[in-house]
Amino acid sequence: MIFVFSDMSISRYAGISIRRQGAKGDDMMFAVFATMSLALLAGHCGPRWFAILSMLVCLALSIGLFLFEIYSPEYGFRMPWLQVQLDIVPSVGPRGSHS
Amino acid sequence: MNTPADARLPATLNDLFLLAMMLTIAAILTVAMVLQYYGGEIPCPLCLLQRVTMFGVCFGIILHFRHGYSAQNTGVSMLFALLLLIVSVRQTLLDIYPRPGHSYVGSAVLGLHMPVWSVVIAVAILTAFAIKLAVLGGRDLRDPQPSRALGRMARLLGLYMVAIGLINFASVAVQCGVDACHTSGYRLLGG
Repeated sequence: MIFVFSDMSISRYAGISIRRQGAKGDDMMFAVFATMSLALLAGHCGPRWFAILSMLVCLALSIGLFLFEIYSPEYGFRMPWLQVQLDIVPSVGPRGSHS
Repeated sequence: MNTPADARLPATLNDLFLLAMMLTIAAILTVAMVLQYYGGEIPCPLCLLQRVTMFGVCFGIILHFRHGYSAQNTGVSMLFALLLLIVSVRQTLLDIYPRPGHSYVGSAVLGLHMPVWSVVIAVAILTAFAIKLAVLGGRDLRDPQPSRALGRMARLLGLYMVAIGLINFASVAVQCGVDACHTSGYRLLGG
């Protein structure tokens, strides 16, 4: 089995960002933590409905931000570096036959 | 016939279970913050999202201790544990094959990097909830006379979670401002 692999410099983790600048979603981390803090505060000493509402907004924003972070304009949501291909196709006999 | 003490046992066990889970998550988040502020390991966007999901798990527990047992609280916690699993598995797969510009962020603890640990943590949380539901599920877990000592500990721990949640919020504001987050430095400190 061989790995089909090419260099894809879509790193957001090494401090190298090639993301579209000013794109929607850039400011979402601040909003995610703001709603989370609000939910925790309300959960500890505020009305339950407000705490749950804030946490649901936080959850929705987190899912949106997650999808934004992992989306690449070039590859979409695919992870082509994980693709594998077989260099030799194994011969598969019918079930139950042992050779 | 069940005595009142027997009837209270499942509720007390449930409280102890949730308190232990919140304590464990508080410890994990504290270690992450120590590594960030003393070790200089600035968290990546997906790492920050993983912290949010851990706070989300604790949020359900905080609600339990403040408003009493409700299956909704367990549901909220499990939802965030599931999101933690999804985010951490995706991040693990992003960096699983080393290539230029891609490697696991931060230092390894016991040979595992943070996103891999997050997978382990998420699986542990979901497994713990599943075992709890299998053992204690189907009963009324409302405690008519909750233990004062447990309640006090839960309130203190809840307050600690709120405090580190606010510290993390401030930290994100300094690291990212209201723009994209980078691991190269703190935006508001000119990094």
